[in-house]
Amino acid sequence: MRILTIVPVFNEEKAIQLVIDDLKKNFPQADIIIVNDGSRDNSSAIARQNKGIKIIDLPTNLGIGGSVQTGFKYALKNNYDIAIQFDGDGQHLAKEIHNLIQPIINKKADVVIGSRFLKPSQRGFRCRWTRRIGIKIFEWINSLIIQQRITDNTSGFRAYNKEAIRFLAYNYPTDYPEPEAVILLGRNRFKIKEVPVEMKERSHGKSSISGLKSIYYMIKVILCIIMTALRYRER
Amino acid sequence: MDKVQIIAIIGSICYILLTLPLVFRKRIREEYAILWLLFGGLLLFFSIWREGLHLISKLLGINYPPVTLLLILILSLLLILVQYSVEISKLTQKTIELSQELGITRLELEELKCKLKRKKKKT
Repeated sequence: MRILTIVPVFNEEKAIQLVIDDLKKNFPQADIIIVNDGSRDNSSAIARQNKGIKIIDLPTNLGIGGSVQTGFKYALKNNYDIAIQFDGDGQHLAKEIHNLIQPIINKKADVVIGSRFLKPSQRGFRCRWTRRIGIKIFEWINSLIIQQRITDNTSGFRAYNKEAIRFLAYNYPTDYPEPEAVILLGRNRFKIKEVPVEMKERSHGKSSISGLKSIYYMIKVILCIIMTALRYRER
Repeated sequence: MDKVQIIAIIGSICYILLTLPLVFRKRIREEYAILWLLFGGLLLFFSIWREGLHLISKLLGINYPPVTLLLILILSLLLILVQYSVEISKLTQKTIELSQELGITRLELEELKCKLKRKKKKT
């Protein structure tokens, strides 16, 4: 089974090496593709010093959605069976990938989302309360539309099977794609499953969503979600 | 001919003079020029043909006919702006796809170059 880990990166020169080391050490069976989304720092150069890692340098900054989709296109072109989305800022843990892909290997799901909120204990990083309100709202809207409770709609730690890869290579939201992708996949009859995972607080850099931007983000994503829900199915 | 009609005619001619040369010199592609020229023509037509303007205004329940001209102008701008939003969205989508393809192609090219180098070294 061929597995590809897609790591979208935008200005993560401080975290990228840790992410690569973590992946190589704790999940060596996967190929790694770093999608550098037009970083202005040394992210790409640092990643290039590692052997056996593939790097796609995008000529312009496409946003997280566009870079992850590039990974799906690469996975589709190169016939991978499973694609894992793994953030480049160091908040995801490679040792959790085994749990993440299990439902796909057992054919129990097409898409698996790593959720911070499923573990009963308070271990690991969850996130600020403002963001948690946002996440609650997504949970509510999404359960309404796809009739399934997804607890961590903004999680960027996900695994996809071949069918989902093929679909997303051509249909993936831009900008802040995670919650929208859940609706898109749910509406198109992909089986989604969540597994509990632990996450770390980002080791370096700042979240791309803060302040006024977060309000814009909420409004935009809610609009996108409603539109996705109303649109015809793509498959 | 009263003042407002003269202003309307001059305005319409300006509208056309602004856009027509740009189309002629291919600074505006024809598909975008259609709306500009169509509404420019319409404005000029009703600026000159007063009775027609009065007739339409009556039908629409507008008491002051020049307002109908403004209505046509607003409608034209609205339609053109909507067309622009559509076109910009299309262009954005294309840019995204092109960037992605370019990124992947660059990687493939690099890999091919590496392979070639290794082959050359062997022979």
